[in-house]
Amino acid sequence: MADGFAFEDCLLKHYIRKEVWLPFCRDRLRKIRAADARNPRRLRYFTFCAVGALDVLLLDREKVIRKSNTDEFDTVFFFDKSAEAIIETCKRIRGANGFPGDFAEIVLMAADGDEQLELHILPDERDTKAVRQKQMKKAQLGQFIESFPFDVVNLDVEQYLFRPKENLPGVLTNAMRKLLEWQRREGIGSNGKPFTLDGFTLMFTTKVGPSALPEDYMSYLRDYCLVNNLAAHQELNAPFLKKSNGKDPAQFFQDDFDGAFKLAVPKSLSELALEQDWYIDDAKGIQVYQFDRPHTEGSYRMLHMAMAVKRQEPPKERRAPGQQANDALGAHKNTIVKIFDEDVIAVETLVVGKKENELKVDLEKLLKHRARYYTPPDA
Amino acid sequence: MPKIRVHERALAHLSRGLYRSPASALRELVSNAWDANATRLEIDTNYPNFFQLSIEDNGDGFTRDEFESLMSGGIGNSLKRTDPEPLKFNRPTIGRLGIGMLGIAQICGSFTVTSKPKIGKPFKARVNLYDLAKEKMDEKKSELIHDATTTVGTEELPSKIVDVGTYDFEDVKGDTLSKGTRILVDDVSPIFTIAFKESLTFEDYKPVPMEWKKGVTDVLNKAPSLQVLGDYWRLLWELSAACPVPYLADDALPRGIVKERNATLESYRFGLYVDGRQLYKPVWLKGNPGGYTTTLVNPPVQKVYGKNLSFSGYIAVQEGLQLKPDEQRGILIRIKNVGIGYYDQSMLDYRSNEGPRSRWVTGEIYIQEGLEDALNVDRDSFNRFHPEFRALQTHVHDVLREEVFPAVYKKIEVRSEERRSKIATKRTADVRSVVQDHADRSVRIVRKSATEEDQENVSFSSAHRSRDSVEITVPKEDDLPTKKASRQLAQAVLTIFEVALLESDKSAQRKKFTELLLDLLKRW
Repeated sequence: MADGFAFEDCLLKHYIRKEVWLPFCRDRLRKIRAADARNPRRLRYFTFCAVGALDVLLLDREKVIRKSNTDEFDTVFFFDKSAEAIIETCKRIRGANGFPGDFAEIVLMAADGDEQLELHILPDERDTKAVRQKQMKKAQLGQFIESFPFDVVNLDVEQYLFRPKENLPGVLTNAMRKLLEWQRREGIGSNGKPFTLDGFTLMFTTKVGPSALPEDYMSYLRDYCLVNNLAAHQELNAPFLKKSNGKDPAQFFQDDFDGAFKLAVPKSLSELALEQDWYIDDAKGIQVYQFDRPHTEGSYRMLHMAMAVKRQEPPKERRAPGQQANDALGAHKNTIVKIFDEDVIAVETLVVGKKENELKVDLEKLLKHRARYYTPPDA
Repeated sequence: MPKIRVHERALAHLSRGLYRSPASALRELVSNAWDANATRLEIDTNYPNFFQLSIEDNGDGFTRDEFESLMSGGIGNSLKRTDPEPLKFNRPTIGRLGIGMLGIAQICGSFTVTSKPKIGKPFKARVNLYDLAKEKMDEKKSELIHDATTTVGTEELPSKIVDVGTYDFEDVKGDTLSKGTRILVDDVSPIFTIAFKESLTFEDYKPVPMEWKKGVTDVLNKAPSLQVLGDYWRLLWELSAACPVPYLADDALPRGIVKERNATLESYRFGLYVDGRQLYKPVWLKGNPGGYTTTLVNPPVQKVYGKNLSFSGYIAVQEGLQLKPDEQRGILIRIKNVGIGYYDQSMLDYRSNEGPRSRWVTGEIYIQEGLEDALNVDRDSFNRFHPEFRALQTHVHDVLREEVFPAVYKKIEVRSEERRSKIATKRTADVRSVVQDHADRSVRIVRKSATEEDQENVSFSSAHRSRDSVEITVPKEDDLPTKKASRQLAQAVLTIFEVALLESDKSAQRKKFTELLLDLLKRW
């Protein structure tokens, strides 16, 4: 288990699964069914579920994810770094599509160009390990791209969005760009019909920090995500000043990195969506939750964000270059106002008393539900 | 870095490909798990992507020392397993040449072995096989080949050792591991991935149900051949056919012919799982309208050049219906419950041509004693000139020639007679309904024996009309002097002829006869 954090026993994490992710996913399922009431396709789910796959199994228990006729989780797609983890995960969610490797690394291979991504016999190269590995990584990428689009993308990445050693804006951000681009692809639903998404649900989890970011990152977060925006939209100033206790963005970042980060990251997600021809549905905006995780090297704070994402209409192919759809711009602005206006919800304050017991019981039920599929030999 | 060494005896097989399919290579690992007292072996193929492969058992595992010994000269140099400790659950020891683990090299270039032994510390090792090793070995002065000695009895003989790769130990936390061995292949050959992925797109590919019985009854037993279902189905079928797993049920075959055998297989408590589904032998002979003929093969122990040969089994015939998939037909020989190759469609080179009937035959022969010396080194086929194989072949052919096929022909005769009788009954009814449809009063057809006078006058039939009915008298079929196959038709024609003659003039008679004839032929 990564970092020694007991993901599976954590009621705070289970709160996120059950009270945040699940309603968002249910809502998405309703939309899919409304689009084709007679023969709806099954929900396609992309996740970083970890070996336990509790998020998938919760959605399975709640009948949000439906298995195939052969009892397989064939509409579930996931990444994990190690081959062992893929094997272990698939024991719990049979038939799910597991991709081994580093998500961002594999996704960003797509930047190489238009090389063929399908596996095929190479005419000129020798059959060596290096050649095979290169081929397989490309094939994984090709297969992953073919799997798009997803109705729910749950990027529970358990790492920093911004890493000091990476060039701005960081590999994860660039990988997300690609992901949002591929979300526009046409897919084939489980009902056999082709479809494109007019919206999807995005869940994004990241660690708050690191506070020692290099100046280019700080400037990106401070100037691009806050200062420029405040200058362009006067109406954002009041909520921002309320949030920053009257401090300007530079001072706010300096004095309260944690607070400023929690404004800048969701805002950068909203910008990213807009850039890739999507926008965040302002009805709910970006819901941001946080809780602290204990760790042997000191606790750290996680941000869980959930949002409904909509496709811009008209799509960019039918707009003038550089222009965004009006509805999208309006929704984007409203989303930013909400980010500035609303407080991040501390999960610790919610998981108390009756709710805590309720979650405990539910988590136990979920573990029993999982045991129906698989119990490790030594359990 | 320590070297992995292969004795030259195994070299050729390693480098040139020992197994004919991934399932054959995996079957060796299944045998290892069996011999390690595992009760569960899981193979995960990373379906539907096939980017990696994992084989994991909960058996006794092995130690780092044992692994090192195997890697540095043990592979291919070990003879049959001679564990002093008998296996659990009264399992017979499968044993083999010590090549099982490296057999996986046929579909990959490197893999990781993790093992937590019953006694001792766990270990994890990364095995990297050299690229293009075969070419390097074929070089005149190959860097991979070294002089060595082999001890045979007390004698030291000159020999060769070949480096085929390297291995590295990696950190492993014992408390996170379960007892047993896991081989994880994350460097599978792209060809493996291509073939398996492609097979999922075949026109006749069907998703594999999690319940294997459904896979067998709903898909395999309806598919003409595994070829149309593709490599993934083939892998599942080959593993389930060849590995020592139980049958789908005691009555998976007619008349309980595998009931006892199944009880034995179940008593071994060995479960084989592929991508989560437990595999059982893919034989399910039920529901054939023509029924099944079953013959038990159970000869007394016989001596072949002083060695005992003992076997038993069955031969089953699916009467009148080709077995599906086609790979199910033939005879499968099992040694220590493990299939040697797959069903032999030549039925051990059976010489009589039985035409389509040979496509109805399936059978399994379990070898209790002997025949191991007749095995080729791939353990997938036999030396067909080995005396023990010849003895087995002779017996199986005798059974086929003297018991199985005579019973089949007898049944064919019975079925043909039944079919003829059914058709005759229907046609008799057809004649009556044709005549009745064209008559304005009730019709009675009387079939009587033809007298000698009738025969002489060629006057077989007659018709009489009364106020309420018509009575037609025709001779019995067998009294009509024509070919047997034509008699019922002749009788029918005579019947309608007599009906037509009841009309007042020739024109009306001709018209009536034509109508009746056409109507009759429509139903014939």
